[in-house]
Amino acid sequence: MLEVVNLTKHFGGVRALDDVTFSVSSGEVVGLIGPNGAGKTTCFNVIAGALKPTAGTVKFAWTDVTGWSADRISRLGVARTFQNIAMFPELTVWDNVYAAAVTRMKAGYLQCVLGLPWARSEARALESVVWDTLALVGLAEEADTISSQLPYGYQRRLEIARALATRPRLILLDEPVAGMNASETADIMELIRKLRSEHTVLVIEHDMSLVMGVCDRVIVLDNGKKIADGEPDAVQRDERVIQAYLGGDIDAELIA
Amino acid sequence: MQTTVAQDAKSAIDERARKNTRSSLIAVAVLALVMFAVPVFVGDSPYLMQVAVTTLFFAALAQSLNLSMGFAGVVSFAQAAFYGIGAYTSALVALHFGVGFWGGFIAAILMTFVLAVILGLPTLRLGGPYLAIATIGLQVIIQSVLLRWTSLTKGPAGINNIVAPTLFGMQIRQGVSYYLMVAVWLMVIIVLLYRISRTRLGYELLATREAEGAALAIGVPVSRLRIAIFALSAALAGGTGSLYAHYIGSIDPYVFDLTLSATVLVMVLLGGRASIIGVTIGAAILTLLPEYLQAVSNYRMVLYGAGMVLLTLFFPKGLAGLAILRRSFGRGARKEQGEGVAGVDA
Repeated sequence: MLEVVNLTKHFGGVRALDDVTFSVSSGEVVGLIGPNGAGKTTCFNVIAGALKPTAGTVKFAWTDVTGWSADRISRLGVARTFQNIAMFPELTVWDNVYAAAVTRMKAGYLQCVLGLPWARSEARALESVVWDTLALVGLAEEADTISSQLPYGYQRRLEIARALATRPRLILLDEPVAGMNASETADIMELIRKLRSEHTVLVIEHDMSLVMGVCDRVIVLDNGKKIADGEPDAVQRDERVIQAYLGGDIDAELIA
Repeated sequence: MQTTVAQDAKSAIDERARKNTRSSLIAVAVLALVMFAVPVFVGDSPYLMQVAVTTLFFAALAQSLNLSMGFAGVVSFAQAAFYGIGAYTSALVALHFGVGFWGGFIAAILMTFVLAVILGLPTLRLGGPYLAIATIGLQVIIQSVLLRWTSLTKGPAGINNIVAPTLFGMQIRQGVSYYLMVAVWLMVIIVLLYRISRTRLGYELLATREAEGAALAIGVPVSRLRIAIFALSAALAGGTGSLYAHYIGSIDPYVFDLTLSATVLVMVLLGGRASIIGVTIGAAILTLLPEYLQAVSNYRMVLYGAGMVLLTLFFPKGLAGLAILRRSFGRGARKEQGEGVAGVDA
């Protein structure tokens, strides 16, 4: 589904991504981990088209999408959330999600403005898509709230709902449980498990309970390089991974 | 997940959304009624009719800016320039090609649209304050061109004897009939904005305004959309300019200055971004107020400047944010205790 080959991204002299190669198959839930500054978010930004790579290719669904604009990649079926939450702050929760859903309409802008019958019925059908998506992430009761007034944990859920409303095949989650407590984290894990029936998921996360709990496979980046790629248990015992996190010692956080 | 609660929320919100759609439709209808009723009461006073038609011109101009600035966040100080280009294009085309008002009107719309695309391609790459400053540049340059391209525009002398429009074989001159024609044009703009606000385009524009990166991530073609909406906004200003030129009969470059652009911008801020009713009321207030405050006319820009600062500081949502008005402003008003109205209003 997703193939990343020799991906390299330089910022001036900094090699944020250095010759990274990996792939994600359809239906997989893959974790992307690594110490701060390892290049995880840069990797997301390049895949999603927010940044152009210095070298290497990104293939999605057998299409070479290297260097495509973010909106084009989104329309091909890749959705993402942001590490620093990026909602549409002045819009309601419902409108945030509806705005994402309408981008997939077959009816064009003009047909909708003119209120042609098929455009109307398509728009009406999207309303139930929005409700289903909100129910799935547990935000249906907050539909009417201005999104910037949501509690932090709900804002992260809203981002996931918005990503889902574009009906993606691949969804990129950038630290979905950052700053959440244990029970909120458990909710999100439950949600990711639900997603896997219809979506492929690539998730950046520092929370090891989530990574170990929901991922089929884990890819580890360190200093822009891929240092491990395999099943969670195997990666957890990998010498190079332990070294990357701790410089040699056993990492309490990693084991926990 | 908690299906019954979700169902309750859904039906409650659906019900409120229906009510709000109804109330914003009523608001638009009331507005139309007021607009078309004005001549009944002041039709026999040429002075008051002139004030009324001026209000319509300003309201149309403010709505055109509301489209680009209110919905898409493209802050532009060049709206008066496009208004001017529309006026000149229409007057010159009608004069030289003998196609009358209607030919000029269409030419004005096309010309401003195309010009805005050309000018928008480089400038709209900028965002925030940089874009605002670039549009000040556009405004000043366009006005200078109108002033100095004397072989075409006759420079400071301007263009005189602009033909009056004919409709169904009748000449429409100043007064009630012209007022009605401008009122129809304003209604066309308002209905267009209303439809945009309720459909796909409106949501994608608001997404662009709210967070560009996130808008791209959900698949909104942000750069193309910004250029398209800048051009559409310019074309509406251009059409309004054409109506103005054929109304007033003679135009010169001094009308289409930065002061006018700033005034229109304050109208949008006062009314509340993306609020169609709010901006109409804002335009009416700022047109009528100076009429009755002639004494302070020298200080008008000072007052507008201070007003702009106060508005952004204390009433970022403009009139549309006032609690009394909120109920009739549509969807954004759904949450009572929330102050969000800047979303999609009618």
